[in-house]
Amino acid sequence: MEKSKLTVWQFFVLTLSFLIGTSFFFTPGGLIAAAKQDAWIVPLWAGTAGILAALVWLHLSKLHAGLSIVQICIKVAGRPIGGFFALLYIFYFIQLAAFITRNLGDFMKQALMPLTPLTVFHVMFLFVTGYAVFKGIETIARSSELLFLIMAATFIFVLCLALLEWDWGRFQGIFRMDVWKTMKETSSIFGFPFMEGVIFLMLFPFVQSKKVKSSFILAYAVATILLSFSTFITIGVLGVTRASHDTYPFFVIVQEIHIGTFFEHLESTMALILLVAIFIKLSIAYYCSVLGICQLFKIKNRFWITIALILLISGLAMGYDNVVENIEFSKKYDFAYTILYSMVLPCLLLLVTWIRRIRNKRTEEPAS
Amino acid sequence: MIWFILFMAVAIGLCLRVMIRVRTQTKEILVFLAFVLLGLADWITIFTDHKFKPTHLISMLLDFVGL
Repeated sequence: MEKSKLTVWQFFVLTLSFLIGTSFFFTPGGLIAAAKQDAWIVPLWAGTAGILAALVWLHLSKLHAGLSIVQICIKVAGRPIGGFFALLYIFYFIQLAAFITRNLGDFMKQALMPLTPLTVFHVMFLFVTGYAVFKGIETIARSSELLFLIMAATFIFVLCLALLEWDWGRFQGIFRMDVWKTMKETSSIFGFPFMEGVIFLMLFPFVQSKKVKSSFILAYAVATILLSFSTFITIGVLGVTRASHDTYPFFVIVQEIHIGTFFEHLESTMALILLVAIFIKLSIAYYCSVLGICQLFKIKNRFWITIALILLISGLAMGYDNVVENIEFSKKYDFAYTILYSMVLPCLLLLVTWIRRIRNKRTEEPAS
Repeated sequence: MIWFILFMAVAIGLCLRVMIRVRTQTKEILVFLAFVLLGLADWITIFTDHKFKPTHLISMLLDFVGL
């Protein structure tokens, strides 16, 4: 098995890129449609829930130091049941990778290249990501380190230019939401992006430093603030009506930046940032799927599994008819679906671990 | 679709040949084959206009459970 190591900074960058990477682009529209001027508050409570979930995962990982979630499942629940749980996780990671791939395809087709078939985007991107996966997590982390800085700098630059269109009047009617109703309507944000972080249970063993906990929690806190901030900017620049009717409101903001005849068509720059973000997120999901399969079946070389998954992920990514179906699924089922993997199964594994420990202590006591 | 199936058959054949030549573990070959065949089946459902939709399956299961 791979003996790679991640530094705390690399792990922070990976976590932050995974959480914020695509969500700042895809989430604000839906949030603003549901919560209007108060949409920027929603990521704050969802992020808090994400941090609580992260504490559960970290505790589980601490109890089984050096093991990934697939190995924890097998160790705690035994080969048959634990193997089944591990398979469930692997299929969740594969499905997540397919979902991310489809996000890329939808965006490229809708915003940039409407005449190119979806499969072309999917397969080309999967080949590039597949190469990164084959090279290993260290390669992914190092490329993320580099790309993250470029991504952040471009993002801040574009954001500063977008602020020229800012209008405080677009916030009129703020603080009037029904909290419980809004929470129910925007429940999908718990799933995407915060609960998806359960995937990092595969990567904890690679971080050698003891600061993994603070790095992970800090990444969650920063992602929460950034997501809230990007929603706030979207409301201030586009307004509620426009932002809630666009699939990619951030893209629209960038499209409208014109400073003289020098700064125009910055949307292609934004598309590039999104591609980078999708690359990092897809690499992580894809890598965890491959690593999970290798750990479950005790396979040493991941090359052939990586190749095999290109066919499966590209096929599953075609399993949506259109972007509306994609959004509908996220709205209705994403929360319940993700909570199974992010809370139900980890809590179950924690419970079984505690019961086993208590039983072991009791059997050891009479002997001593 | 026939060209796709032919292409895949040739590609899988070549992969198997390489895998056997470099003495890959039997288990690894079997897992590779399982995932490739799953992917192939998925692509055939796309070509026959009876797409396999994982989200459809998930939503059906969640509705069945009542979540």
